[in-house]
Amino acid sequence: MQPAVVAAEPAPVAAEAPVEAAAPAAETPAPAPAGLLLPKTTPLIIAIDKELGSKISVTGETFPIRLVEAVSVDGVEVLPAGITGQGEVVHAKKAGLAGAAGELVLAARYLDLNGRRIELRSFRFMEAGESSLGKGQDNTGVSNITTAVAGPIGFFIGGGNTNVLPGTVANAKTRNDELFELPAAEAPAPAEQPVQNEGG
Amino acid sequence: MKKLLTAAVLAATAPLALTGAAPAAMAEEAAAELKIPPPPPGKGQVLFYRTGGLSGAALGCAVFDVGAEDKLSSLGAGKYFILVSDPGPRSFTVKSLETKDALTLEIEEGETQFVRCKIKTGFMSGRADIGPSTETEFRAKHKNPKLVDAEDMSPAVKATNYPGQ
Repeated sequence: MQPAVVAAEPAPVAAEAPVEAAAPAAETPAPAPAGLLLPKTTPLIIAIDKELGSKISVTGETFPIRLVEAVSVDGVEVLPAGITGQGEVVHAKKAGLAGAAGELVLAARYLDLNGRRIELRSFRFMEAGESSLGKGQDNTGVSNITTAVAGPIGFFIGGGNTNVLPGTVANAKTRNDELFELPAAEAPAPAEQPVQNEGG
Repeated sequence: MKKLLTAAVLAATAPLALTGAAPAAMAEEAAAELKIPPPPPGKGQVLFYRTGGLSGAALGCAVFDVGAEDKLSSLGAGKYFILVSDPGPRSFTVKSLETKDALTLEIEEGETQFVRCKIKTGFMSGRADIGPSTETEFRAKHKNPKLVDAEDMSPAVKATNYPGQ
């Protein structure tokens, strides 16, 4: 359990550069950007690596998650595929009598990048027919006794107990701006480019 | 005749025009699809709704924060309300004579979540049940959503849903 590492003032990276460059008697070239900024709410594709279910899971239980697709900023991979992290069962309720549905609400908490915690939010399964970053892998591995509704903000609900099988894919977002160091041989990054999800 | 036509056109378009000013409160007046306003900056929100139907139609679905004595609001059949909240986990409960049911959500900044309440058939009376839902489900089951009456809301909920009152 390491503390979250969040760039203290990540946003002004690009904005401050020109100001400093205009400082008096700037003999040296403009300072290189402090790093690569991965903005908050960047979408990620996450896989759940444990079987969960409205009957077998309990509120507060944690479960392993994994980044499915690498994330790059300005062509530099900052979050490699396969890094792992943790999710949490926010709410679990067994199916009841008289058709009461089993309920399972999940949240993605963080990914661990070499000891640095990348906090996550907005864990989200895909609704049927929704186009998403999952690219057709919509809720692979979800099974339940009857029809499941896989909805936003990470919940499953069905007419019976609902199970989430290992490998189920969902979306999450980064909670904070994250600043990464430029690779040593990397030239200064251009102003700002959209973040890309690699692969698939 | 011309005056009558003008009045009719104004009457038909006024609710739509006002929807942008006070979305939640006015949207119920509009025949068009309910427009759900985004939460204020730094906040998330939950839209609670209850489907219509005969089962438990006379009973309200009173929604509380877990552990609180004062209800947030009470959902009649076919009604909804919006709760603005700080981000983070938050637990809600509904109570009825026979039972109570609870639900914990992870409220996210800038996002709207949906919770439905059902009154199920119980042994002696209806049993209130809440569960997570989706906007798709809400819109499918709520063709003509109506806002809970202001007097059935806590002050904070009322301030969100009836701004300016």
